[in-house]
Parts: sequence; C-alpha cells; structure tokens
Amino acid sequence: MTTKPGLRGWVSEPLVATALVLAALAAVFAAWAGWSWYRASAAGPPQDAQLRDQVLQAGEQAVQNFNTLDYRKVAAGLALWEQSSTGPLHTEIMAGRAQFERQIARTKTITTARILDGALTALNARAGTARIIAAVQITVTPASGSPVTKQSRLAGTLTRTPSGWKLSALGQVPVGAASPASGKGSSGG
Amino acid sequence: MADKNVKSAEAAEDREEATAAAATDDQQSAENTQGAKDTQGAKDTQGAKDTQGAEDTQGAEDTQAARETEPGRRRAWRAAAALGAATVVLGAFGAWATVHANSERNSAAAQNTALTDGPATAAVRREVAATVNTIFSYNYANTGATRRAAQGLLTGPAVRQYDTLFALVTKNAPAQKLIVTTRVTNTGVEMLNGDRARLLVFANQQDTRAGTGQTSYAGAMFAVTARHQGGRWKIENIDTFSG
Repeated sequence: MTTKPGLRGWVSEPLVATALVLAALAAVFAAWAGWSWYRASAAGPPQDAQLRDQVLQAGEQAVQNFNTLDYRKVAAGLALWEQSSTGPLHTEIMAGRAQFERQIARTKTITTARILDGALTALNARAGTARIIAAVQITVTPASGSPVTKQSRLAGTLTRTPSGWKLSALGQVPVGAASPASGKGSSGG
Repeated sequence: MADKNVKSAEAAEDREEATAAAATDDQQSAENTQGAKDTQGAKDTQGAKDTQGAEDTQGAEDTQAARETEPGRRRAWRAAAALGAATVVLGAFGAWATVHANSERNSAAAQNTALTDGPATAAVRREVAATVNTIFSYNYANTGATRRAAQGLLTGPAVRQYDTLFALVTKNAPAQKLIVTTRVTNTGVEMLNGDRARLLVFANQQDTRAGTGQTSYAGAMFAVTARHQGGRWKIENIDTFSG
C-alpha cells in the first residue's frame, strides 16, 4: 500500500494532527451538549420531580377536603370526601355516611381547614403509593358560640387511581410515647 | 457551478504537480472537495481564522515553483484550517447548548431534589431528626449538656431562637425537676436544593417531673430550614406556625 503515504504523512503533520484532535474534542463536546440540551428542553423538569409536586398538591387538597364540612351543604361536602378518597378510607366513608349526616345535622357545625404546611414522606411511583404529612389549622364554628381553632398533625397514605391520586388513609398522628404514627385511622372533620 | 470550476482547475493543478497522480485519486478527490469548500468558505471561516494562511496559499498557487516545493504543506494548512473552523463551530454550538440546557434545568421543580434524590433526602431527614431529638431533650440536673450539644447543630437565626428558649429551660427546669425527652416521629422534606432544605417535622415530647414522678406527653409540629455546613445539616430556622 504505497498509495497512502500522502494521507499518512498528512496526519502525521503536527499541525493537522493537533487540529484533528481539537476538532474531535469539539465534536464530542458539541454532541454531549446538544444531547443534554435536548434532554433538558424536551423533558422539562424531571418527571419524578413533577410527579412529586403533583402528588403533594393532590394530597394537600385531599387533606383539606377531609377537614372541611358545612352542615348546610353536607351532601356536597361528603361527595367531595368520596371523590378525594379511595381504598379503605373510601369504604369507611361510604359505610359511615348516613350516620355522619345525621350527626352533623344535629351539631350544626361548620368546619374549615387551612394547610399550614405539607410534605411527602415517601413516594413510590411504580407502586403508585405515597405518604403525606400535613400541619393543618382547623376551625370549627358551632351553631352558637365563637369559632374554635386548633392545630392538627395529620398523616395519610395516597394511592394512585385512574382519576388521580387519592387518600386511602388519613389520621391524626398520636401524641405519646407510642411508636411513629402508622397513618391509619378515621377521617378528620 | 463555481465549485466545479474551482474543482477542475485545482484538479488540473494537482495532476500537474503530482508525480503519481493516478495512485492518489481517492485522496485527491477528497482534497479537491476540501479545496472547493475552503475557497468558498475562505471568507467566513478560514478567512476569519487564518486570512494570511489562505492568502498565502492562494498566492502560492500562482507561483509554479512554490507549489512544486511545498504542495504537502499547503494541503496541511488547508486541512488544519478546515478542522480549526469545524472546532470553532462545534465549540460554539456546544457552549450555546450548555447554556440553554442549564437554564432549562434551573426551574424550581427541577432544582428541588426532595425525594427524587433518595440518599440526600434520607441524610437530611436523619440528621435533622437527630438534631431535634438532641436539642429538645434535657435533664434539669444538667441542662448545660444539652446546651453544649446544641452548639454545633444550629446556625443563623436558630442560634438566637434557641438561646431565648433555653434561657427559660435553664430557669424553670431545675425548680420543676423536669426531664424532657423529644422523639421525632415524622419528617417530610419539602425542599432540598444543594446545601439548603426545608422539612416538616412532627415530634412527641415526654415530660417527666422527677419530684412527683408525673409524666405527660405533648405533640409538636414545626417546619425547619436547614443548611449543610461543615459536613452536616444544621438547623437554621424553626417555624412553629404560631404567627
């Protein structure tokens, strides 16, 4: 192969060799940068970060729904509870609904809630489950008398359903020497 | 068509100067294409980078002698210039893309790595919980121990917040013979961004009065802002939602 000395001599020229190496490095850099730019712009925020924010928002809304009830609009309020729940919590609400309606009609209370702060303590995207804790300020206004405000520590479990993330358990975190709250229990309100 | 003219002119020249013209056909056609490109692009890329080189090469073409003595050098210069131009273009694109990729990533949701970075989330939860347990647990007989332990665990506004609180403890605990044990039960990381974090914390407090043996329990909830300093997470601020 004496036909290629020209090419070989060419590349062995220090100037060309240097330029070739630099161009190759620039090509690698450009490819990497282009790829990362494509990834960043096509994906937007990482999917898992988006999911976390979305689940937390859904969870906080559901917790608030469960701590809101107006005796003048019981049906609508309980319908919202049903919509915001799934699994065991949903079953519990359905079972206790009639009794609850009678009870709230008698006490004539208006309960409102404000989420002071909330955070997910776990998120399993594959299983479609998450755990949430929320600091909630609950105001109960009785038929007569002044409103009573209390702060409440709530823990819940969220489960993914075809119509979004819903609470499958919600309860007060118990005070005491007991082990950390398991997050199950009855609804607030 | 201008390309073609240049190409054939070049080819003619090259054939003249090359002693083994037929042998290097492949290389020549490659070179010719290169030459044509260079001539075209001389004004924008090569010209900008190495005007003198381009001019020299161009000038040398007119001089038969120069061409014959240094054809390899001329080609090398051309190749180097073309590669240099490619380097500049690729480098510029890379820099541009990197800047854009970074700005895309700098959105709030993307920067918050709470839960998405499992190990980092676990670390801040563990350390903040340990700190809360330490600084809010004390024995009336030795409140100084707690205060000393708290020294390296707090930073910023939390130092003063804690001082104010602990002044009450130092004053009241001995009289009540109070032993307080705090245990964090739940922590949730709301925000984690590099060396900054915000957590929601639930804790239970067991208060025992050594004098009477009475024990009571209380629950606390607060949000903590933490900073990673000196290799560990320190509490910077405590928000008890009392405002």
